[in-house]
Amino acid sequence: MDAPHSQASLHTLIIDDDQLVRDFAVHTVEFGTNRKATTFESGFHAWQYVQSHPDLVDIVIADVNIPDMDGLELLERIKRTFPQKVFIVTSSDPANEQTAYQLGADAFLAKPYDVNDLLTLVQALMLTGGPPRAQKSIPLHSQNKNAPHAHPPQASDSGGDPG
Amino acid sequence: MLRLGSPSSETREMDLDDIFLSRLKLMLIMTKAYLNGWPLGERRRQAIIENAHHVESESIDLGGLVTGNSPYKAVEPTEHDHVFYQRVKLLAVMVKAAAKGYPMGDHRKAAMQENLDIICQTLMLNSGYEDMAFLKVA
Repeated sequence: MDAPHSQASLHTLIIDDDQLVRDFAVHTVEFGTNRKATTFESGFHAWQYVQSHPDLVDIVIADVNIPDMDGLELLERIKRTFPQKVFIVTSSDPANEQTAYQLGADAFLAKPYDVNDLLTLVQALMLTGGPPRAQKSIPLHSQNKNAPHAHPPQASDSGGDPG
Repeated sequence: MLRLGSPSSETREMDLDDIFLSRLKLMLIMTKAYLNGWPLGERRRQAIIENAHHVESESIDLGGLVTGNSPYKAVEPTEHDHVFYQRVKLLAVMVKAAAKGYPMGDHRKAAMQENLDIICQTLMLNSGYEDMAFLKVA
């Protein structure tokens, strides 16, 4: 990532055609960031939104299996056009992990994931400035899955509460 | 690239139980955040209310999620389970009331904390909150 995000203007796009999963992700991200998240069911509609509102998108969380334009194609387009935007790929197929890495994804979230995983990403990618690009993979999933909190590093104290 | 979520050998689509358990964990984290005085902006309050509403409405069918070392272990529902489900619903009502700004005196907060602790113990979850400090700065 080129520059840390301004927490005051942190905009997240969540794309998943499963409404239950999407709503859960929205509530977790909105609680973690105290910022509104925008949602789409379709990759194509998300791409249209990113093109028309490039300043209103900082982070994209997209499932691979979404209608019209799959998550990997959306990743490729966004990283080619807006490389500074953080992109998190979610998928139930581990085969997509390597492709996501090659296309420049900042994180891969294997389904089923839980609240710990999302909050860890909120901390690692959204609140502290970005992912460690030098490393191919950091297997954080080896942490205790039953613990309701992960072990993120301390965030810098720069946030307001625009709510 | 960060890599989180299930191990590669256990990946699959998320089902209703996955969603419910994750929402229940999220509600426990939200409750701890509230009880420990982390700031709650408007968006967080709304997320708390909506998540609690989901948990409350779906906690009528929790059979098999409680007991043993794993919350995922399926067993026959018992009277103890029924009490647990009611505790989950009660916590959802409590946290919604708190998020809506209703007066929360010391006794109500103590009752919420006790209910939270019992649910955490039942689910064998770690009830620590020290590592949630990043919520302070969002």
